[in-house]
Amino acid sequence: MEFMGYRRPDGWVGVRNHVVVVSTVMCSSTVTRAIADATGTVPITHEAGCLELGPSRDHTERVLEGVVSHPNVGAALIVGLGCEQVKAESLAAAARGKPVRLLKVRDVGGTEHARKQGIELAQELLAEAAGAHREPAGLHELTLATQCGSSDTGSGLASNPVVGLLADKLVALGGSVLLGETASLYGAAGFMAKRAASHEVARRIIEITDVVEQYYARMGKSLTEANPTPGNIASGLTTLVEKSLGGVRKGGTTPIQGVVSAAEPLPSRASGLWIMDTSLGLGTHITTDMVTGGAQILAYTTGGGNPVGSALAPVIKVTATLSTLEAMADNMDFDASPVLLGGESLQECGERLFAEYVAVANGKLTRAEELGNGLFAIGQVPIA
Amino acid sequence: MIIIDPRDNVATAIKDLGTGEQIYAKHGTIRLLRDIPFGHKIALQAIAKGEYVIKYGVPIGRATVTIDRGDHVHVHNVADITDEVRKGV
Repeated sequence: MEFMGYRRPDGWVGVRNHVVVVSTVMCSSTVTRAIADATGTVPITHEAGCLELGPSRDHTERVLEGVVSHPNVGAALIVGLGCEQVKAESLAAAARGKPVRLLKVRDVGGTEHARKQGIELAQELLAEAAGAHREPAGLHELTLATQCGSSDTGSGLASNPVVGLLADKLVALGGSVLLGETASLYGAAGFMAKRAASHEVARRIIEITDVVEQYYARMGKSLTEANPTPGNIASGLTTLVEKSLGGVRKGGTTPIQGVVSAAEPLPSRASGLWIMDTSLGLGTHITTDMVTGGAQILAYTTGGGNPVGSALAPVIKVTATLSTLEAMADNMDFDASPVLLGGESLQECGERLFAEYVAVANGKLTRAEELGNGLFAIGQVPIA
Repeated sequence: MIIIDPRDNVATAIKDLGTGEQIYAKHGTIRLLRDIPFGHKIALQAIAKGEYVIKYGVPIGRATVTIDRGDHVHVHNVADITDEVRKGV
């Protein structure tokens, strides 16, 4: 099946044509925001880029390279300070043939000069990116990221299995799906390992949850002390195992092909369902990991209602909870409540979500995009 | 209410249910011993202390007291078993 997407010089296909202004380091954030505000481009700022070691440094570099190389990005202006760990030149190489410019605040005379030059460079890039047009592409070229937040019983019974049907359909068409949130799939790791395509993949699934266990054990804590959350419990979820089993339904039912690190692209020509060992903590960290790993669109199930999108990718908000559809009407994209309340089978609802997914791939804006709710943040990867 | 897997010993309320209401399953007619809010679980059969609570066809917790048929199944009578089942059962 086909959709209309933006073919990039490296062959990858995007569903949006963003021009991004990317800080290499926190120190250039003010200039980055000023340039983006003045030109209507997408600012990518964060609190990392220097004084990081080992896995944290590798993660930051993967995320930022993932921004510049992302197929939804048509052009990138990279804004550095000049002395930071993340090198602007290395990031520029990630553009892989797309229009790119570099700017270093120290080299051009400080903040005000950088802002003025940056605005000119961003305008050049906007003009160049405007030359990109949608052309036919295959749905098999898409990667769907899946995520949940403020989960309730409706997430596990309706929203997640409906997203799971979308995931299964995309996999059947040759596409790829990411299931992340290591701390959330934690309680279901053993069940997921049984669905692994090989013994090695099964071992890796258990191993990434071992690292999470060790991380909390060093603080004298167990993940189950904080999870399920008070909100989860109020909505009827009793144990982390129950929450995890409901959560992993959004990845669908196909075999798990492998495990990648946070923000790590899938191997070339990969397809099927993959687990990403995402950052601990806030949802935006996890969204950023999965999107910069190459997902063009993210399907996000929410019980209590969550408004947050992504700076780079459309995020389709799915809920099956009527009170949330009413309380957060302008934040929700897809109503899965008929599955619980009658009127639609799971299968029919899955088909309707698939149609919505294709419409979003073709350019239909999600609520988070319309509301300018596209966030970006680099999280912390768990370290053994 | 919804029973996700035939092996489950709990059902999930998909609307608020009141004490004394009856639900119908292959386990027979079950009279609710308490109010069950939307999204919460109901015991389809008696679950002895120490037995697994089963949903999605797999254990999700362990009864900390004997739970009567028709009772509310939640954090007050179920313990988490994450550490026991994380690596598989």
